[in-house]
Amino acid sequence: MLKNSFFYTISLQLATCYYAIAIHQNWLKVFGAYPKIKYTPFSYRLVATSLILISFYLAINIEGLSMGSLIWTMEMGVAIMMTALVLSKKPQWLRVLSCLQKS
Amino acid sequence: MDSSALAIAMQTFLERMSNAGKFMACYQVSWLNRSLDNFKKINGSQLVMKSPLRIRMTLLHTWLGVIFSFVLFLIFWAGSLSVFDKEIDMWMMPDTRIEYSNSSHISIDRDIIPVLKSLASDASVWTIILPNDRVPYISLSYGSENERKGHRIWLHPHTFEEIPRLDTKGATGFIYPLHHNLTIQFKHIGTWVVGIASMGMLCLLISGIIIHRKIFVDFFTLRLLRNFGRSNLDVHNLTGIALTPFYIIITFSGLVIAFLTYFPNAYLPLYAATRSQANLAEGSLNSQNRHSAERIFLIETLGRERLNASNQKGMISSIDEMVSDAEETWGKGSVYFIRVNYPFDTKSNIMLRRHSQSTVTKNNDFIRYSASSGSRISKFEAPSITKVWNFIVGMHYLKFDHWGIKWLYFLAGLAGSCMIATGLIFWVNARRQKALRAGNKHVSLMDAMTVTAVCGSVGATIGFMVANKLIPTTFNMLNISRDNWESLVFYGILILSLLHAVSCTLRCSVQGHLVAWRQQTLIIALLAITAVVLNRLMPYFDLSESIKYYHLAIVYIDLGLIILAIITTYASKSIMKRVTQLNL
Repeated sequence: MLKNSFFYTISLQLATCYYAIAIHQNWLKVFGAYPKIKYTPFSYRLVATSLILISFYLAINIEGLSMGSLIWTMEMGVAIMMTALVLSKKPQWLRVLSCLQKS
Repeated sequence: MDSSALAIAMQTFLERMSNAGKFMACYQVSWLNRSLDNFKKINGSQLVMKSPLRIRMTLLHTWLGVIFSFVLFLIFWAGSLSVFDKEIDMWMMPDTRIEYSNSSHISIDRDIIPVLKSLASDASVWTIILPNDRVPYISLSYGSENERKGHRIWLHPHTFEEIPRLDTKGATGFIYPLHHNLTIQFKHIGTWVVGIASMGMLCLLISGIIIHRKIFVDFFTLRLLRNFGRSNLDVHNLTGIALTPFYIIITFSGLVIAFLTYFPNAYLPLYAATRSQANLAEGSLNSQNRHSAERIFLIETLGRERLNASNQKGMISSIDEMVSDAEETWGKGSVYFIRVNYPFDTKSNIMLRRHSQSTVTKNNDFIRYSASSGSRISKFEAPSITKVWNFIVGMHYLKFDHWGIKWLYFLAGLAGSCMIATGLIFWVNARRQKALRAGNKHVSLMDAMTVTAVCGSVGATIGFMVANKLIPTTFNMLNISRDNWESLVFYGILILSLLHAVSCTLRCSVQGHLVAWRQQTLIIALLAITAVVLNRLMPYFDLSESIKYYHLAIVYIDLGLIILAIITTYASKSIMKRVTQLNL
């Protein structure tokens, strides 16, 4: 169970990170410059939405409907706070997620 | 210029700019349009400024926050600790730190019934609660018809000997009631206060969402390196926004749990009508009908039917067989609760309940057996409406066996406490300078209340745990029992915290609050370290033993106390730095 819950926890955490850096001022904070391709933040949002859906599907599948939706909601809040903390203290850590950005 | 003249001037300007058709003008036009939205016409011609929803909601959010924050902080703090109430119980009662794996070896007929026979053969009710991972001992209670759980004892799950019980309320007897009724049981006053504060919390949540202009951007905004006021407000916003669904769930379900207290008249007349149409038509419900209506309601919704005794001597057949029969229906190891009504009566009956460890929904299904024949009398399954109630309530009670979600609830509860504390700090910070210039003392008093709400509540809880270790086992002074002395220590520390904060803030309006914060956070750190040291010095405690599964809870609590001590020491040091800067 613990092993399985790892996947939806990670995908939820990644989703919130992608959502965060797709926001204009957070992008600047992480990369220090505007995106080179106009649609990169949009593609990040798309990835984030997909990850959120995947994590919800996994949570429901692994934990059951009621438990899964409850734990997913709770983890979403914690993931947002974790992302905000990273953005505040060490925004450069989020550069590892920039695989979608062409150099 | 009055508001009508201003609006007319704006309209004229608007028309001119619209005709010009330039880009910048368009921007101005949209700004002016928005400004004009704030005006409305009265009696066809007079223009007055409207009060926008956001302004009204800001006022509501501010003042409801000020009124309810103290109670809400205490509720959230106690609620967070109540998630691990059984573990705190184990910390406070060293005799209950028992090695436990499973209850499959326990035979009710062989191991438990003889104990109950020797202790309470003439009792009206016996209740047996089997051990589990969190409560590793067998709990037995017995009593008369009016006092069904009058006497309680705990048995060791392997030796079946009575566990000596320390006279303490523990977390289940003090911190948990503090969460739901502030330990004020007289006429349900505590429950009502908590209910009103919960309604306030719901209003605070809704108004908080409305007043937030950039809710999605602020999801990830946390500027810890900016000035204190900015970072404090960011923490308030972030903890508020990120966990809004949790706060709504927990507040709403908390209100739903106690609906019988808040709305007794919602169901009593309805059930009284089914019970006695004639009496209802006469216009009043006498006490007899009221009781009957309540009983019918409880039977229909929760199956709480009481069968009468025959007052003739009877026998109890094998309860183990009844448990096996029930487990065929519910699954292996599902029975945790056994109640024997009127033992040794020919009409004695035995009720078996199953646990709710695998679902969110709190389970109150049961199977009733005839004690003399061992045959099944009835099986109760909650009706659909009760299942909905059980689901909502289940999200609050956390009866299910899922450690991940328990930790999430604990952390979210602490985040809620943090949100309330930062909200209060923001309120006083925003008004302090103005109040100082005007010579008002009300902000200083609010400062003192804030320090008491935060440091007082936390310090009193840790003080309660320290008192548990320091008060001698057989202590009884002024005819007050040991467990009540522990509670008095809690309230004593809370009152001392208030007096200290008031004296500090009144002595020096400029930095008195900082002195109060610094000293009280330091006291919390000292109390937390004392609690860990005392726990270490207590008998039965050995770190190598504690690393085993059943004692891991104790290690976690000690670690939690150490983390609290580190955080409060850091806070105290930071405040000290601030005081030094102000003095320079």
